This record gives sequence, structure tokens and C-alpha cells, in this order.
Amino acid sequence: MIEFVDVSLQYPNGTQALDRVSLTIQKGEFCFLVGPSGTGKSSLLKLVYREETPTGGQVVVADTDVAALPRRHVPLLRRRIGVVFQDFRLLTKKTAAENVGYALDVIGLPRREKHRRVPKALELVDLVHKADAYPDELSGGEQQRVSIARALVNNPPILVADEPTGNLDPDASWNIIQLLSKINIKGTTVVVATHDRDIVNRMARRVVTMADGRVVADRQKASYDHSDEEPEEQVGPSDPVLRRGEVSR
Amino acid sequence: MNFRTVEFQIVETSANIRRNGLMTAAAITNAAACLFVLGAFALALWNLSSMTEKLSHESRIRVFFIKDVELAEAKDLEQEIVARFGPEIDESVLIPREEVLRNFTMEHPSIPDVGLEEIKPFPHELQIKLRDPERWREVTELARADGRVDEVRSGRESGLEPLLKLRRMTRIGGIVLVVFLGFATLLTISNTIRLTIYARRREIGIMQLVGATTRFIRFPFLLEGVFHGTLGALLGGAALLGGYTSVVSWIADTIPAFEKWLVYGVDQLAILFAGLVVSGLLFGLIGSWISVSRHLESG
Repeated sequence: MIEFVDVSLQYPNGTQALDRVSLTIQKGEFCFLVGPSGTGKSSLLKLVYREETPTGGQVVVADTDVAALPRRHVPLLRRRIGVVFQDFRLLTKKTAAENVGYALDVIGLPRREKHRRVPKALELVDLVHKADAYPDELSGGEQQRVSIARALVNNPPILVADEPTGNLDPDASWNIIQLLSKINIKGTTVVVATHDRDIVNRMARRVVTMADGRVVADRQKASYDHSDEEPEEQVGPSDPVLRRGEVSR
Repeated sequence: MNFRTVEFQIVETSANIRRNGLMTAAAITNAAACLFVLGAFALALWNLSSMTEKLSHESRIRVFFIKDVELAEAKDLEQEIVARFGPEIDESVLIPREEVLRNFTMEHPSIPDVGLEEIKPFPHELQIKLRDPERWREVTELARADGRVDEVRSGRESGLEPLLKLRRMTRIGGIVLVVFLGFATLLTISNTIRLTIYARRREIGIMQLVGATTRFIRFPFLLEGVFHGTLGALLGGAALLGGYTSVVSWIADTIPAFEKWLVYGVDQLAILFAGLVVSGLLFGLIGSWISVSRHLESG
């Protein structure tokens, strides 16, 4: 589903954000990207939705070579990827329902279809009762749920989340991760970049650890603290059997 | 883009215009001021051009015959010139020496009558007005080469030559200046639109994130640009014409002789106004196109 082959990314200012990263995330997988700030987690996610293009190597997302994608086709790629950020990125002058519907408006979906899909997306994140609330009337956790609903309303096969719990208290963070897990169980591939040790440890999912723009560890059912230890538990990213087992669990 | 998308875009654009009231007011005011200045320059140049045009058309080539040339001979030359230049001649008048004298004595009544009619101090005079004043040289050369002619006053002597030079300069300089000012106006309007885009960069980022195409993102900004430019032009144009007609009527009251040189016909002012509105619309459209494209490319 998502494949990085020997990917490097150097920003115009000379910063080497990624250094020959190879990583495969299978369809339906739930994967944490962990590591200190500035190790390339966000850069890796940006390559998925073509916010950045690699300076070397190949990024394949849902059978599409992202780097080779013509600029005019980038919106079509983004419609197949839901993106969630730490700062929610909601339009403050629109209600929760309007924010979710906005993702459908911009792709010109018929109104009837929009009215069918928006309540379903809000129901998924348990916010039907807050459909008419504006972002500043919602808590941080609720705002993040709206942003997840917006990311999912288009039924994308992939969801990437960049520090989705960074602005939330522990309870709200756990709720968000549970929600992402629920979405993953329904079949969506979920990739989460995070600093949140507690969540990573409690979830015990695949953990890819990054340092200095490189993948330094990649383990199944790992914890944040021990993700770069215990090499005997390492499971290669191309072992789909175990992952499928996890998903259906 | 389907109907649903266009409808959504129009609703969003009008909401944005209302929400960003201060920015909208700034953009419209800026467009109005720019187009007012552009229009004022265009009007000043138009007046100057019309003035030189009218003056040069009023200018006549004056052919003075040798004193003892008879009227019939003078008439022959007149016919030769008319035959040669035909429709180019707007008007040709042969003034017999008696009439020249009569005009002279009427203009200078203080000069005592010392039997000027006997002395015949003036020759016959032929005055020619051309449709295209630029062809004065050819007519002058033909008349000068004729043995019956004593002197031809045209070009530099009659002030036509510098006038024609001024007319040419006004035309070329006017076009260059208006194009230059137009470009400056476009840049100013485009920069103001950039501010409105900058104010909404977050929204644009979200649109890009959820898969909006460049065309989709650009469209409402183009609509807004057209709105700013057109409304600005309507306001600036109305202010300009209001001010101008007041100035014209003041000139008509204080220096009536000057009035005939001015551009103030309703149809002429309507052309200017329409030109400003079309310019405002185009500047808004092109200005927002440039700004939003630059933003999207850099983003």
C-alpha cells in the first residue's frame, strides 16, 4: 500500500531530512512512526501525500509512483489519503458538519451524496450531536475528531496522522488513538507519527523508529521505549500474515 | 467544473467577500484609486491629443502670389493643386488682393487711407486646409516650385510643423504612458489581491489537503478579483467623471474660448468610463490569476 524504496529528502536549505529510507506498510496495517523531533517522521508522511517530493528513491502509494505524479494529478492522490494534523486545521468559520462536508464540496460531489456521507462520518467519530457547533465551541479532542471525520468522509484507503494527540490531554489522546484503531479495523491503512510513549506502549502495534532521517528499528507489537531493542522480536515489514492476523483481531 | 461546483464557488466567494470586509474594502479602494489615476492620465492625454488634432486641422497653408499675377492665373494654380490632391483638400479659398486689403484695413482702422487701392500693396492669396495636415510638405513643394508664387507659409512658419510633432509625441507618449500606468495598476491590484490570498493561506492549505484542484482553488479568487476590479473601476470612474465634468463646466464659465478644445462629449466620456470598467475587470482577473498562481506554485 505504501512503499518507500531507498528514499532521501533534502530540503532546499540543505537539511537532510531523510537518508535512504526503505519501508513497506501493507494494506490494512496500523503503524506508529516514533522518534525524537527532527528525525524525519513528518517528512516521511509529507512524501505520502506529496507535500514534498523525494530527492532520491521511490515512493509508491496505492500503486502510484508519487514522485513521478504530474502536479495536476496530485489532488486525485490526496482524495485517496486522509490527513490529520496536530493543529486540527479546521475552518473556524464553518461548523463541524460544514468542515466535514467541505472535503466533499471541493471534489464536486452531488449534494444528496454529501448529505448522506457527512452524518455517517460524524457518527463514526461520535459527534452527530455537535454537527452544528463551530470549532471554538468544541474541545481539542472533539476538534480532532472532526478533522478525522473530514479525513475519512471521502472513504480513503489510507489515513496518515502527524502527531494527532500532540495538543490533547491523556484521556482525549487515548480516545483519538482508539478511534484510529477502530478505523483501521474497518480496513483503512493507518500511519501515525507520534511522541506519545504511553499510547504507543498501550497499543502494542508495529513501531517504526526513526533517528537522523533513518529507520533504526521496525518491530511488531513493540513499545516506544524498547522499539530499538529486542531485535529478536523484529518482524519484517513484508510479513503480511501476522499483520492481517492483527487487523482481524 | 459542474453546476454544483460553480454554485458552491459563488456562494463561498460571496461569503468570503462579506467575511473579509476590511480586506475587500481595501482592495476595492485600491483599485478605485489606481483606475482613477489611470483614467485621469488618459483623459489629460486625450485632451492634449484632441487639442493638437483640432489645432493642426485648423492650420492652413497660405500661398502668396507674385504681385502682378492676375486672379485668373492664381485660379489656375488653385485648380492644379485641387486636381492633384483632390479629396485630400478639405477647403481651398482664393482671396483676391482687394479682399485681402479690405480685411487689412478693417483689422487696422487706424491706418490712414492713402489710396491703398491704387497702390495694390497685397498680392492674391490662396489658403488651403488639408484633411490630413501631415501632407503639408507636398502641397508646399508644389506651390513653391510654381513661377507665379512668391511665398508659401506653412510648416514651421505657420506653427504647423511643431504642432504636428507635438501631436505625434502625444500619441506615442500617450500610449506608452497609459501602458506603463496600466502595468503599474495591474501590479498594485495584483499585490492587494496577494494580501487577501495571504490572509486565507490556511484555507487554501486545507483545500489542497482535501484534494481540491488548482483550478478549483483559483476560481473563487478570480471571481473576487473581478469583483474588486470592476467595483473599484465603477467607483474610480464615477469619481473621475464627476470631477472632470465639474472642471469642464468651470472652464466653460471662466474661459469660454477654451471650452471647444476639451473632450467632454457624452459619447466620449462614456467610452472612457466603459474603458475603465473593462480595464478594472481585466486587471482584477489577471491580477488575481498572477497572485494565486504564484501562491499555489510556491506552496
